[in-house]
Amino acid sequence: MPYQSRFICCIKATFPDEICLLISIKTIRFTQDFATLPNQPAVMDQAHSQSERQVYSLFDITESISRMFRKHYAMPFWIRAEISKLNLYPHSGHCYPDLVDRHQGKVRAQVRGIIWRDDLFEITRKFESVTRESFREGIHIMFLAYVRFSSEYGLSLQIIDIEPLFTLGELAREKLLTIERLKKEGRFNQNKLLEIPLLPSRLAVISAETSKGYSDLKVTLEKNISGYRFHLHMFHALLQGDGAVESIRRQLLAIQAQKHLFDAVLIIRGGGDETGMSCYDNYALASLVAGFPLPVITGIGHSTNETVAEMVAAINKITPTAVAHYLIGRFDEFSNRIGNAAAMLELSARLILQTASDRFAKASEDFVDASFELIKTELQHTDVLGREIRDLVNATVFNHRIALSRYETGISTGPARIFIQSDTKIAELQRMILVHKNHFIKQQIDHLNHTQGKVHLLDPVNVLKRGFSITRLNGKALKGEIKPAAGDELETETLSGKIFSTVINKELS
Amino acid sequence: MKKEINYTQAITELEAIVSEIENASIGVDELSEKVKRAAELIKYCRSRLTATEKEVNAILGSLGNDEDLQE
Repeated sequence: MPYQSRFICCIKATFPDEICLLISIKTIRFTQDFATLPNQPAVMDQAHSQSERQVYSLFDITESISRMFRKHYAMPFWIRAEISKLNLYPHSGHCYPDLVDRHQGKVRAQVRGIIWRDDLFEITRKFESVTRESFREGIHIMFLAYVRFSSEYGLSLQIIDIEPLFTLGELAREKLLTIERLKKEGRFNQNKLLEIPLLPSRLAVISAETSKGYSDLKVTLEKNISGYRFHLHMFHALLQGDGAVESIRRQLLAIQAQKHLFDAVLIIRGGGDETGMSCYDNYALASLVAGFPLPVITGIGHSTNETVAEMVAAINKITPTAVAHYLIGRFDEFSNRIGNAAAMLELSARLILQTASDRFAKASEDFVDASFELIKTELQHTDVLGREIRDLVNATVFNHRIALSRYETGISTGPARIFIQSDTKIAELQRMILVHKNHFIKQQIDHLNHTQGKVHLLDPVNVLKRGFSITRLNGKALKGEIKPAAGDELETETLSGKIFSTVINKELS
Repeated sequence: MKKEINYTQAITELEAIVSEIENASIGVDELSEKVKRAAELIKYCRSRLTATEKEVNAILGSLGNDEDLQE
């Protein structure tokens, strides 16, 4: 591309509107300058014929342009642009940054910048002290620059001063955009919602071996007084400035590929300067942290505002040492829980035993009391029974004694009565005998005489004498039921002898 | 007097004799024999009563001592 057309295009694209107006005015002057070239160049007149053409050396042209720039661009302009490439030459100390202007992602203007060594030193110091970012590729800056045109190197912007507050605002804007985008995508709290393992001991550490932060973490974890063991696996990465985003992302992806080996990811930085921390506000990095399948714990040790990566991380601690204490704290908490449970168990067991023991003691006491009470009652009862028995025995014995006394009396008085009775009877009989002895004898004689008379009268001879006879049938006297029939032979005894007869007839009543 | 006799038999016999004497249903011939028997029975019964009373009191007394020991 010829310098001329490139120049026009870049001027239009890079400059703000108000400056564009200025440029357009100057362009007119530029045209006029062209007209002042020594031998009227043909380029300005399309109507010139081939034969009349005047040819200039390239140098004539570039010098003409150079003169015009020196004349019209004597004063520096405030310009904003992005550093797409820094091009720092350490040997000379000069810097030739590529400055671009992007619109909707496409480069619409690009100019080479120049910062001489002395300016670079001052600009870098000023820039870093305010933004806490290194002067690096990818940042937007607002700078004061002369527009230069050299025949040898073409168009360039010589940067002499910088406004770091602009960059600070740009960085803040980028940070806000990252946060908004993550929230919109619903990823902002994703890592915070992950459950942190009860005892995070297998730790993937993204850090630098030489980092003081990593050393702090390691020492604090290793020297924990309770002797918890942590397994650190180092994933080296750049932790700030240029290349940090890609470096950290690469290691995160490496960890993700073997996530089953780890409980958590630690991003550890600390010590040294705090420039270049804006990488943690980068969307690509913050987004990966937010959506990471393992809890991410950050300890990137800085005094500036919290970065987006720290905001979305499951746990954020200011320093690596604080991260170590947090991890130890998790173990301590669990240890305390176990300790408390053990103490509680012991206490509960003791309580149960005590309660059971108390109950048993009380039951024993009650048993003894009840036994004594029962024995007492029974003793009283038997005592009463014993007394009753004694009383009954005594009463019975007494009654029997009374009875025996009565019997004794009976025995002693009875015979006397019998004697008196017998005596009375004898006396009576004696008296009777004395009173009735004559009468008794006469009575006896009369009785004897009467009996003699009776006996005489009853003699059968006397009966026969008085004319009576006795008729017998078969030897038995006829009386009562013995009744003779006709033809019977009867024997009749009389005083004079026996008569035998036969019954002819009978008339019996 | 027969050795095997017990208190109940003795008192029964005694009562019968007393009854006979009181009702004068006894002959003079047997009287002295019966009175002699009755006197023997009374003596026997009394001794049995005294012995029994003593024994019972001794037993109950020993129970009382046991109670004291238990307490």
